[in-house]
Amino acid sequence: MSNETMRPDFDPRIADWLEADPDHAPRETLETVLAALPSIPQRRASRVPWRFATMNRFMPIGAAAVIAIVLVGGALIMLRPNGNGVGTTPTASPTVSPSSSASPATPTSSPDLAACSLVTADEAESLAGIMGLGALPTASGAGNETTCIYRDGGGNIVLRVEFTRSGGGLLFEEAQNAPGVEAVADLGDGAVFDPETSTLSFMKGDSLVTIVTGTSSKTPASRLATERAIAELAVERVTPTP
Amino acid sequence: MQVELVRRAIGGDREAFGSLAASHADRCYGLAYRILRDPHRAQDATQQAMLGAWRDLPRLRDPDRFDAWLHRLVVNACYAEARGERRWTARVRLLTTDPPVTPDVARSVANRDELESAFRRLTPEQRAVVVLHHHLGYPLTEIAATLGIPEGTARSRLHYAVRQLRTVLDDGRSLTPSEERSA
Repeated sequence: MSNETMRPDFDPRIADWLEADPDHAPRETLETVLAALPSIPQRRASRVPWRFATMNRFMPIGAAAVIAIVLVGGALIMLRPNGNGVGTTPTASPTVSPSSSASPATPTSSPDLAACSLVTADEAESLAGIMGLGALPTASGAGNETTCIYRDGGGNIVLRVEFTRSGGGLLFEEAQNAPGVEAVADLGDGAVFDPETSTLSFMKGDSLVTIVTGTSSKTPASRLATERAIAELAVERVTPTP
Repeated sequence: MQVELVRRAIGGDREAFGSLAASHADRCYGLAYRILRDPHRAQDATQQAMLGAWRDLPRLRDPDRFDAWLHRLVVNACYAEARGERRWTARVRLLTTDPPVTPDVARSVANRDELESAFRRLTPEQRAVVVLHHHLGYPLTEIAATLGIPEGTARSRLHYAVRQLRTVLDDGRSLTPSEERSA
């Protein structure tokens, strides 16, 4: 450190103060990471060569045939009279049914991942309106209180789901008593929306779920609509406290 | 040894990545804690960085740069946590009663509370530079490379932050808002 003390912007008092901070990660930090790894695919670098090193003369013919089949097949699908053909209006807000075949983003067996089991990555991506950007879930917390944060490909938070498995009543009362909150009808055993923070909270039994979307939905009203759609999926997956 | 683990992890070896994560978890958490000053957010940032590392590891061109690359992910995760702070603090959640794991050791710094308060007033970007320089001992060139910023930017951030902290250390008082604005 003797050299460092000679630098004008090095102060040993600051280094000493920082030294006193903790240097050991809580045990569950690593456990949560290792538990989530199997559910997170690696992004491969896109280094596909434009042609293979060894190509025989039939390969271009085969490739052309595959492309032709795809083009013809696509055209036939698009031109079907009762299909979603050219000129049809796309639906504004895709919905995903609770019985969607998409698998949960993370295994449901571990309590640490409980919040991530309420909404799948595909659903988060679809409902948050960020199609194509992905929604990578990250679990945190342990036991009764867990959190799942979904981020898009740029690392921006698009959705946050917090799950209090039991004893959520007090928290829900606190939410209800916050100034400006609005009751949300027909959702779980009770639900409120706080326009100030764009947070939707709902109870099911003794469990509380809070949902906050990122900035993809601009106004509180549109965020409420998005969060409600997500909540309607999640409410079906909240299991009663044993 | 580590380079071999990185190469295996790049190839999708979860066990190899688990070994890397185990050996870096404390250092990453320590870095995140010092920037965020909050054990729970530090844990979130560490997990986010490590999962991001696993996801994007195949894009790491030089396995020898794994440490710096991981530190960059941790710092970016801290930025995200800090940016989200205002957005999420009003959410429905009672404060947990888990005590912080800060060791209760008396230090030579005369007024730790004042220093803590002054440090919290710094931007996350300034905090990161201070921690990388004063705790990890990175020179400015390495800080700039790790954070992906020009060296001049790293220097100015460090200079401003240290000046703010020294004001507290030398005067034994907090900065007033007007002093902050004029600094």
